[in-house]
Amino acid sequence: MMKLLFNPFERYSEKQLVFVGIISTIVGSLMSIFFNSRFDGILDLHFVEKIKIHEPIIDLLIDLFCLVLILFLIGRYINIKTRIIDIISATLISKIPFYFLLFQNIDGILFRITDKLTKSLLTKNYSLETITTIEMAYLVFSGIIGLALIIWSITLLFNGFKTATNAKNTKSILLFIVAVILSEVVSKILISKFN
Amino acid sequence: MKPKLPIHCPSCESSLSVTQLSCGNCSTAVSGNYSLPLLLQITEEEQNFILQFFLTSGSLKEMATQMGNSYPTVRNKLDDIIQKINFLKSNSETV
Repeated sequence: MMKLLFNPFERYSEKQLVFVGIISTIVGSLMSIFFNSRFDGILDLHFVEKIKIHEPIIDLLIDLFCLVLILFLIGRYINIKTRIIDIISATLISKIPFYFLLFQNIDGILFRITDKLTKSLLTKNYSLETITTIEMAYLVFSGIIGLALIIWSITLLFNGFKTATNAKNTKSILLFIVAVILSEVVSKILISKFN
Repeated sequence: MKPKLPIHCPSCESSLSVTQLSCGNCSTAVSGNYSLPLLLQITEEEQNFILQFFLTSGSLKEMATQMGNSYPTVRNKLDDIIQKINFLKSNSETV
């Protein structure tokens, strides 16, 4: 069970993984429209008041494109036998935990709380009186769940990358970190420019 | 139970070598100092992997299906064994 959750890449074929990845990406795109959320960076998720249907779809496509391209280039540098299909499956599967994060904004609740918090901070009202205890508890709870899901996502991505490249040494791990940071920066720039 | 061929010294963990071979039929014994062949210096699991690779005509995809693993996992295992054999080979050449 732990293998299935954290390292399905060791067992399942690339066809099965890519199939599950594509289905989850479609479901994730539809959910992000429903929950008014933007994936504006490979490790980002922001809730907005209103969303245009094409926005989360383009966000996801840019995120996946950047991550696949950069991880594949670095993967090839580590091991010439790295196949793009294994990087694609790792990228698609690693995004699944992010789709669970979307449930945090049921009925726009998380957007309303964060919006209230942002407005009170912008007006330099640091007393936080506008936020109720329940809202604060929900914010903390969402933060903890969010962090756990992001760690799950990165673990999946790393295990997929490791299986695809047979990466073992510290240099490979450092290159993976560089690839993720670079993908985050590039995807953020592209999304802000084109979407 | 089939006894395992020991390849490392249980005392100092150095590689073992063959010092005696005997005929099971007439009990003639040959003494000397022979190093183990490369394929016997790897673990039994790795030997079985190579055997399976041979029996599937080198098809990693078929091996992956048989072993219930993904293709890159099987390929990585093969790469690790190749690396190990190359290391053992270069070690035996320098000795």
